[in-house]
Amino acid sequence: MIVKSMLWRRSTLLTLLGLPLLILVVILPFVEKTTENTQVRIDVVDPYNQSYVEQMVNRLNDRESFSLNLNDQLELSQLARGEVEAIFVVEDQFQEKVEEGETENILTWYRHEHSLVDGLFKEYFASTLMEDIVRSEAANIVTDETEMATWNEAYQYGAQFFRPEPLFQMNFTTYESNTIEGEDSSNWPIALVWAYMILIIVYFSSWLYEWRNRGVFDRLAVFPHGKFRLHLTWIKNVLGTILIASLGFMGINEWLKIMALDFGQYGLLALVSVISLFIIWLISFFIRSRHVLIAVTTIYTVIGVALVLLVEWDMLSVQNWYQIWLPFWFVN
Amino acid sequence: MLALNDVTYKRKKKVLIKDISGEIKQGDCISLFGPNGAGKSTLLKLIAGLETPSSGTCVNENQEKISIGYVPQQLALFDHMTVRDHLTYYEKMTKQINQRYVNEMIEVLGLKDVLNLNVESLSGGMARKLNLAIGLIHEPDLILLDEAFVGVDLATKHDMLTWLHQLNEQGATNVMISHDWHVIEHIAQSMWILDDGELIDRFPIAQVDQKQREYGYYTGRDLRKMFALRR
Ligand SMILES: Nc1ncnc2c1ncn2[C@@H]1O[C@H](COP(=O)(O)OP(=O)(O)OP(=O)(O)O)[C@@H](O)[C@H]1O
Ligand SMILES: [Mg+2]
Repeated sequence: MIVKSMLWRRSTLLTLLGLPLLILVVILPFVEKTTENTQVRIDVVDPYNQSYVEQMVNRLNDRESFSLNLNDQLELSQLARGEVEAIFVVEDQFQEKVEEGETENILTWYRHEHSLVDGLFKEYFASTLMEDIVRSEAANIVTDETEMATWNEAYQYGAQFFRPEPLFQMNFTTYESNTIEGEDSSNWPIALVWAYMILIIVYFSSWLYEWRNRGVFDRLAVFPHGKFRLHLTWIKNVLGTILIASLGFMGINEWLKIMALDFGQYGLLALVSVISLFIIWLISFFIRSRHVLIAVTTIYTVIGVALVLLVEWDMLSVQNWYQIWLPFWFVN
Repeated sequence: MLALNDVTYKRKKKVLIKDISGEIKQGDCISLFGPNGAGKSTLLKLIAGLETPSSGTCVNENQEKISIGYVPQQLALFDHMTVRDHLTYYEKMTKQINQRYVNEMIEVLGLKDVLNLNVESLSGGMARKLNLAIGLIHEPDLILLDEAFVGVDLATKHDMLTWLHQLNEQGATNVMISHDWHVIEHIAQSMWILDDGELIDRFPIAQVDQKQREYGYYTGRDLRKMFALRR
């Protein structure tokens, strides 16, 4: 019954559910970007719609690491926005130039100063082009010297040096890992989750103050263990909420792999949250004003999380007395 | 039933109750009377055992433990809980609950029609009645009421007083704080006059006319006025 009294408030539901959802909505796009969409987008622009270019793009597109698009218009703003890593613009009469063995001025490479891996694609593009250029050039020479073979026969003959694979091969292995690699497992995200737990506890502490101010505890005091029972109900409800929040966080984190945590760290989070609960419950007996309690816990939490951040960013070295800040229990 | 011996109560070095002695006998109906801030609520809490005296004692003279019903001055209710849930919650606080008594009380206080309403949707008077009903739910030996009749309509007040009078006749002891002469004269058997933390007078209700004349001249402005308004 008291559960209903405590939870049946719009602000409660908003705080307990809305906040994690909000955080999730903010975090989710980043997570998807990093775990799924690792392909680098490269654009090839052909203002003249040449079928040879289309073939070439299809040949190039079988590499998993690159996602290749063929456009007929150059849009450099995409580079600035980081939507594409690089843009290659081909000249008119591309095929003819390749077949004549022309290697200059057939391609323009646009990149952004932040582009990183487009060089790899350039090499790949160039080597594919070189294959055609070399074979064409060979066929040109052969047909110039003799009439025993046609240009096409000579051109096809050259393919054996490139197909099924080019002569020179490098071994290529993709390293796959299903946990997110932190540089070293970082602790500040879990400190933030702890701060969220504090928020929950402080939020629920308002009921203790309300019951006290309204005389609910007074009226219960005349019953055997009356006050104690209401305190117990409160503790149970907050414990339950913390537990559900922890499990929810664990579930979401294991599912989306936001941060790499082992069960020991989840356990530590739960333990530290429970300790926080009892500390806040105890000091609520001494701090008679709810606002003072909120101020004290907020200051404590903010300083604790800030210290953890500073230590994680190597701007501060851990000192022993930092252990009075509960989030430092996560730092080892 | 209960004896107060030189009870003094201080908070933050301020003396709120000064050296009060007195006896509450079984079957009494005492009205604590005095101006705002006199210390009536504080004294009632001391009697209820919610606060401990800084010096002096408040002793239960009975052999057995007495059960106390305390109705605070504020509406001490839970949010978002129905009237029925409130009654059930407090019924669970006691081992044996007299369901017939509870039903009768609900009937008399007119709470029967609002059992399923949330406390937010109760009118002020209805909430008062629930506040009172909760305090009486376990048939307490000692009933302590802190301005339990504020904002209650006359008909309901009459019913509440009748109910309290009935409990009193059956042996319950009553200590109440009220500024309402109608209430006092209806059920009080004696009056304790408090002013500035001191118990300045104690007399049976039969002497109230005589006291009114006395207080018409010799006391502080607030008390004089309060007695004058009795008519
Ligand atoms: N929590 C508190 N801390 C400090 N002083 C208090 C506290 N509660 C009450 N007092 C002081 O104790 C004195 C007596 O208060 P009390 O509530 O007992 O008065 P009262 O006679 O019930 O008044 P009222 O008729 O207004 O209810 C007042 O002067 C008040 O300022
Ligand atoms: Mg009072």
